[in-house]
Amino acid sequence: MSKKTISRQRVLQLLDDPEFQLAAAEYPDLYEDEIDAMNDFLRSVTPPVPEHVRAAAPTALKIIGTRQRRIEDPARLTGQALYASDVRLPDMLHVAILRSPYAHASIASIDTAAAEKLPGVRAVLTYKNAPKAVISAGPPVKAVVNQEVHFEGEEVAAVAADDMHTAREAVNLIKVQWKVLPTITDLEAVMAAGAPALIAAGTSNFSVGTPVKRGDFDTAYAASAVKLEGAFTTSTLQHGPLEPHVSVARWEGPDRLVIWASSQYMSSVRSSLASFFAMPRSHVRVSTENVGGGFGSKGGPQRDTYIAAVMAQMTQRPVRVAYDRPGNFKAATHRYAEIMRLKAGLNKDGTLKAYSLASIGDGGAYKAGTSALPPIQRVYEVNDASFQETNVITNRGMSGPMRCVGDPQGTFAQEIFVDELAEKAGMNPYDFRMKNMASVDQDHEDRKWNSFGLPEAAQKGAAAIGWSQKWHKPAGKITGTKAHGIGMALHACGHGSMSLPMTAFVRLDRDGSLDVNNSLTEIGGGQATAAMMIAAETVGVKISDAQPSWNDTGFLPDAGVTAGSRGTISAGSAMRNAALDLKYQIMQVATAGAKPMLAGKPEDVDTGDGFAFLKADPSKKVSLADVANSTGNPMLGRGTHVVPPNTSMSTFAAGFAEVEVDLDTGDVSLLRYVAAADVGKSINQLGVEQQIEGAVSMGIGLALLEEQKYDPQNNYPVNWSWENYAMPTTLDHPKWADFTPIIVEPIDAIGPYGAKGVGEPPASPPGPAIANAIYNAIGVRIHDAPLTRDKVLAAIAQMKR
Amino acid sequence: MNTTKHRTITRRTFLKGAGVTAGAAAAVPIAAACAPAAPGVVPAAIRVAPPAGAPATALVPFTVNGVAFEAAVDPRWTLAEVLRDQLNLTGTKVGCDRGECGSCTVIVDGKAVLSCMTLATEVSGKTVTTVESLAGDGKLSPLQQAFWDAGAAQCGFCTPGMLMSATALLSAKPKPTEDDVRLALSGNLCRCTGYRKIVEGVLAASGQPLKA
Amino acid sequence: MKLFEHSNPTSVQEAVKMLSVQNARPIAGGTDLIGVMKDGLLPTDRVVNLKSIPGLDYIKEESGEIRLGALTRIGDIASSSVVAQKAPALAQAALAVASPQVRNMGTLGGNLAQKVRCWYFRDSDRADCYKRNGSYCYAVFGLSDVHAIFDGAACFAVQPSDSATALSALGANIVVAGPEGETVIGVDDFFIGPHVDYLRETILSPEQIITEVRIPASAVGQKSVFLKAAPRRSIDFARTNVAALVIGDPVQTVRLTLGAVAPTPRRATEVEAFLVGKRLTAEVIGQAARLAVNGAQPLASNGYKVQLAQGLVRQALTRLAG
Repeated sequence: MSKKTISRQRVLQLLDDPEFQLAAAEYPDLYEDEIDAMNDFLRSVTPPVPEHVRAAAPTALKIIGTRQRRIEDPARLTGQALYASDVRLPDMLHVAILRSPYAHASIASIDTAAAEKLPGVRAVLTYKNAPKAVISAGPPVKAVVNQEVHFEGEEVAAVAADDMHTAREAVNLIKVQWKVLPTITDLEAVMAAGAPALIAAGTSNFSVGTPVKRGDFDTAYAASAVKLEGAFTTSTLQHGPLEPHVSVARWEGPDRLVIWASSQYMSSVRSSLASFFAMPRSHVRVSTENVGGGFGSKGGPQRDTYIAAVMAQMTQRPVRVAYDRPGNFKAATHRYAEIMRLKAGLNKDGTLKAYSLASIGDGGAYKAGTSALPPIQRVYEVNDASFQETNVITNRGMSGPMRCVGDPQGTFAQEIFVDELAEKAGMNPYDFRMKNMASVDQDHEDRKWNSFGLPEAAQKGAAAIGWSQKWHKPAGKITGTKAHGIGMALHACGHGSMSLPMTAFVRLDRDGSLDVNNSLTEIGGGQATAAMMIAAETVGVKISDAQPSWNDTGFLPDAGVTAGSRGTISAGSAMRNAALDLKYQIMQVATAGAKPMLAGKPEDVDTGDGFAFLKADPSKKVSLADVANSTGNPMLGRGTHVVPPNTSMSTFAAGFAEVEVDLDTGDVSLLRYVAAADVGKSINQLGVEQQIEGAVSMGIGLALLEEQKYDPQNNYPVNWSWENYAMPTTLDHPKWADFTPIIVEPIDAIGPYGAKGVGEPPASPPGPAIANAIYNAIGVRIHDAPLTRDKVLAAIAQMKR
Repeated sequence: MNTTKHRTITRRTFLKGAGVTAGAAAAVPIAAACAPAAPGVVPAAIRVAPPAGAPATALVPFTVNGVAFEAAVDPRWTLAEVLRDQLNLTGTKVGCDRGECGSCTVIVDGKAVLSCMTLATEVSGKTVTTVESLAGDGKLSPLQQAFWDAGAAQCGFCTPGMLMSATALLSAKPKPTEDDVRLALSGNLCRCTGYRKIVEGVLAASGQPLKA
Repeated sequence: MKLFEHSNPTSVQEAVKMLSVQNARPIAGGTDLIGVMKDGLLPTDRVVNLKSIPGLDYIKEESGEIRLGALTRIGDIASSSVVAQKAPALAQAALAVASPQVRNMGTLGGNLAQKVRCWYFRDSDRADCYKRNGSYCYAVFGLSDVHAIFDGAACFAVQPSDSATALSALGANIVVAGPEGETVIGVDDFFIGPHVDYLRETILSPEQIITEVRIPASAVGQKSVFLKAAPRRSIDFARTNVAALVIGDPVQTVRLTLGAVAPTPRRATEVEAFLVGKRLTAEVIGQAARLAVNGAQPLASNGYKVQLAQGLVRQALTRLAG
């Protein structure tokens, strides 16, 4: 593919565009040209870390790679941690929201008189008195609340009252006359010629993405000895953070706004709100001390934040907007459902020759990109391939990025399909995968990967689960009504590798302690601890003398979104550079002046345990507090993360599942799961394991349980709470010893101390690994996630018994 | 309890009396007030009024973390709302407000229950224990420490509920099996952890560390 | 939630009297009613707290029967050694209910008298649902994964109680108190379907409450079993459950009930008649399982329940045969 030319002006716009930041973090492959341009720009304006500073990096690691308890935890364990939902301000008003009962409708008339008269009600917001400024220009236009709604559960009106019960009561008093508009429940019918316009007259209901091509698929496919086609689907999924969307807003004068938000991207909340109210960004402060999970759904400000800020302005009182759980199910973003059609051709010896994917993604309401493409392009060697995504708009809740965006869908299809190809080739699925595995970046002139841990992940995972002893012919191990099965899946993606630039500060205070200003919003991933470990190691202080700052735009720079597994790699790399900057300043100050604290050149100095000392004679030392004091000020290190040009970087993961299927009831027990992840270098072992285990958990949900269902007539979501949206419980996971995270560490030269990201990649293999295990158990394929009981029973009914 | 000794104070005056300005940090002083009282000391009940404008029809005497309260409540108020909005004990989280996630789990008379599905007026005379009571003397409780060591918390939002379910389990059964722990926590949803390190933490707290 | 009056009766008679005004509802564990009230599904002006009535929380053996007070917590039933030994199906059903916290709160009476969990009924925006005194059933042309494959009429919501299925197989009796005094009614007559009254799931009139459940001497100490299938292993309501009681080999007495497949717990009387006098061989069990779903009329997306119910019947009878 030819590279897009992107102007400097465009680069500057992108650096400030929160929506782009989120999209690019989550789809690094799709926005590769933009990310490259941004990195190019930043490299051109940021002085590179000088070689002598780079050389100051510690060599013997004391902190990196150890297992550290997280600094984030004590407050969370004692109930003292302040989440946005815990913020209680004097005279604070509570908001209840009226949501649309229809999937597509327009307000013919709305009567709020009775609600306004209810004692305790302070303001009612509808499209009639909402600000003229819009959240997004569309089409369709998205205002704080709209006259026309595009999905069931969309915000229609809001009431601010002295207490929540009054607010809810008032919402029930609002009378709306609706004009119901057409909706289409079938994804492919939305695309049919003559389908009613769902967004706006004259605007297409779908957009066809640019095909990504390698070689000539059609010719290679036609010439293949073995051909296979298959269609696969994945369902709409809920992020399900335990803390719903919640924001508290307080105006401190006419042009000074403070927001507490449950957000993954505090700087985006700031810039979006500043833009909405036409104020300088410096006039908006956003605090996100603790965030009760996001998983992609809390990227930028959602309507809760806008409603809070607008109603706080209307009432001149602090306002709290917390979505209730059904509201969160309906109006927060979702992982998009995909329909994926695959074709592949093999040589007689089982070599993959041709491969294609055409997919259709349910973007939901408003504009939302979908893609199931990226993962398919990396794992296997294939010269002739074609990939294409079509993005459809529907009257369903908005889709958006969710952990490992797009990849759990694409990898679900690919890895089941690859299993089928292996069977066609008469090979063990493991052997087939290893035979066809790509070892280079095929989309960039077969460049070597910067680090490549996939073979090791596959080997270690296979050994841990006992693949060679346990794999058997499909339906080959049935005892009574119990069928045993084993399955695997491989995965590669851009998450946790190439990434947008990032800034960090680190400050040595005059007492020798270190303030680690990791400006990435901490949302549970242990990012603060990882940054603290990197900074302490690099500057040379005891870990007990370092502390991360809480997330607040008041004193932290915009470091982009916590998404795309970029925390450790990007923020960590920026933090390492900031710490190196500081360390070199320490080396300079310690050796400067007529009476230097240490006699020598800066390069003769090293640091450790809170001291600067001469490498040649460590007994000659000075405390970092004395170094800082000698300057009269705290010392500040600044760092930027920039990816070098012509880099090929990727993360890799492998998953292995063992199941037992009950042939009477269709019950699937996940007996064992092994997840091996290539993480470059593990910064905090504990944190890495946490990320692997959590990612797998989400994959288990995708595989077996989770599906946002919509009424086939009216497009209403029917399972809008955890009663019927089955997020897995303790009992739906394997037991402790049967749930194994494996860390694979092929040191990567770009990340901090060799690290890559890990939050997302392990989330993709569980879906297909479990589906393949179910196939291995019963010998009937299921192509549609989740593999719920109804589908498993239908498959069992097809078994030859 | 001798009701004649009760002081009637509103939420705001109580906070001022406790020497803090009301605000986002207001959870701290009440949390301190709710630390377990010294043995034999029965503090006078603290009477808590509902927020301005809310009707109150019942005065509910109950004990929270060893402190006697009389909360003036509207019958609609759930225990979770009284804890969070009247007592400022925001350690108890509300994840779904409909009994499906367990984030709001507290212990009432020794049993783990859902505070979002409990009417405040119905805890009259009962003893409520919340996450704020677990740590004491500047130290984490053994269970909290084990959670910390194991890495059982990630975003931390489900953590208080997990801790309360686990606390109830360990007081009923100090040496639970792994299956006991998995069952006892099966009403507490977590989206971050896959539960593995939570189970590990509870078993470690019971003196039965897991080994791979 | 709309403002309501909350009252604490201290006797059954007082509770019954308090319930005799319009839109008064009894509350016990609250895990069902509070959800109904939060979602504004049914008008509620007065809540009568049965927990303030002393003496309704017990498990005791009397006259050969096991008697359980209506306020007995589900969790206490699940952990009762008497119930586990002498009425295992009920203990297993109790352990299968919802989550540990809900079992600590919910009561036996409440579990039997709860409202349906149809996802359209529970959606506050679907006010024209039959159960809300409307005249439409969304499940008929909508998503019916959680709905009835038997006996639906207008409304297709199923009886969600796990304990009801077990008590039906155990042939339990339910003691009901009301303005006219106390009556004892068989569990199979206690539940009613939409063909009788689509607004109610039980014979209880608004002012009646359950005070006791009795497991008859004929079932006490006999072999019984309860099995449940749901998406998850905790929290969820049953997609299908089954309970069975078998006495004798060859079978002398058998009671088999399927739950969550019909508006009421569904006694499989045809299967029972078929099994009497037979030994529970694999072949007999297979035939019984097929008979159990005879006449099922699934909707668009609940056909899997036919196969599931058969599978559960097969497993339940296989356990009792062993």
